[in-house]
Amino acid sequence: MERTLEGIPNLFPEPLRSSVAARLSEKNGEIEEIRLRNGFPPTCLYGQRELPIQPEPPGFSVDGKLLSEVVTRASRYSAYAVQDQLRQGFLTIPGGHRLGVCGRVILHENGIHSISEFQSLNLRIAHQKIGVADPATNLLWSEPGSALIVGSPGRGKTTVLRDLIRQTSDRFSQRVGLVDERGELAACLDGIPQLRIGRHTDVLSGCPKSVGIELLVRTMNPNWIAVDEISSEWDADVLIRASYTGVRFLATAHVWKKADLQYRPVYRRLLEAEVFAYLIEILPDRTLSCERMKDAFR
Amino acid sequence: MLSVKLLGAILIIGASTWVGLHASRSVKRLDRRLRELCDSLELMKNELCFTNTSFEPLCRRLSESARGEVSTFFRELSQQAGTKDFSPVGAAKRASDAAKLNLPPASFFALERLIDGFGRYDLDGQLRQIELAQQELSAQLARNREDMDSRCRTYELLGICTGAAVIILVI
Repeated sequence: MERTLEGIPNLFPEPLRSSVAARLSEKNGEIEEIRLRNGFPPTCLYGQRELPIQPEPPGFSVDGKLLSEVVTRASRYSAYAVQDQLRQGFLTIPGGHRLGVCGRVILHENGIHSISEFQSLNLRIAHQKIGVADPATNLLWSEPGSALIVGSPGRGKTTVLRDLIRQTSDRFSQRVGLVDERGELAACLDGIPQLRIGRHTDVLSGCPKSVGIELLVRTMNPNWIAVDEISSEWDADVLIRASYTGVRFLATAHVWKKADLQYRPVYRRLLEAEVFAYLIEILPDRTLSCERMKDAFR
Repeated sequence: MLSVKLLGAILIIGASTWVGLHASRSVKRLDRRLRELCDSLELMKNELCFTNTSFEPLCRRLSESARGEVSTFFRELSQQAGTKDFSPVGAAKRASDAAKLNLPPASFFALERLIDGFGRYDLDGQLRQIELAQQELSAQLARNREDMDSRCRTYELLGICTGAAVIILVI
């Protein structure tokens, strides 16, 4: 497993910084999330259990000032640069880690304007598992076709997608266009991907999928296009339109089980249009089940 | 004896002229610094509008495009922003001291207010903060330019005349 953990402790002011650094090194980088809730001690998620992080002095608890400080550091002292992300309730930080934000939502006419008076923060630590998509690649490459990765939250859809992108790009020397809307897949910093996504991958960071897919098709001549978390009708529209150009897709969808695909209108449209040839399901034990789409719903 | 007196007179008039020229150059340097700062703030606005550049790379970019003390000022800011315990509050003062920016108090206050509060607002708010600082610096630039030529001439003349007066009094 590969991770870029160096910058994480620096997100936190002392004394929390030292304690987070100690926890990260103690658990050998296996910590999945760091959680800060106003009025409570900080914790970290390790093996689906929340363990306390205990900074000095004893009885330390998180307050609003600390939460604001962490968000300010995560935005690199540039709230204006991350306002679009913040409206969606998260910030992507160097290394591809994602800081989820809860607090008081400030509404304007067109929806969420900002979030302030933070109540809790959740830092999801990005990780790269080289070879995690191996069970899927053999079937996928016997007869190449678009693949949809499904699984419930936290199962590792993004990790599998990232490895599929890397293998498609490096192992099979295919041009991959990546629309990295949330900056989690490539985690580009100053134009350089922080995570391994392959030599033949072109990345559009921070771009909505519906816009990015068309842009990539028009300008980069990709063999494959990869996107994370298809969720809206617009995403489905543009995927269906772009599939007519002959480009193939690697994508993820947020569902608890594969049967949900048939009940959600967005995914049902994609199934009916036969955009995806393969279904990769991440099972509860985090193994992959890969099958042809037409066999999956027989 | 005469040659010693002559040498002394030359030294006195040379020194006082140098002081006058130095004062005149200070006025011109302030004009250059204010102009550079105004240009940098314009570039800052453009960078924010078109590329949403965050604070550290923004300061690096401004340091590359500016010259002299202003370049050093932004380089210092970018170096500070790269440290673990960076806080924009007080960063302008430290960078200004290190770069020997020597701005008039009102102009420095405008710049300090901009940097201290940097990154707290959304894009519109941030642009308005930059415009406020630009207004103050432009006003200072205009004030400085109003009488710059006459002040420079006065300083230079004063230098020479003071030297001459001292020579007359002493010799």
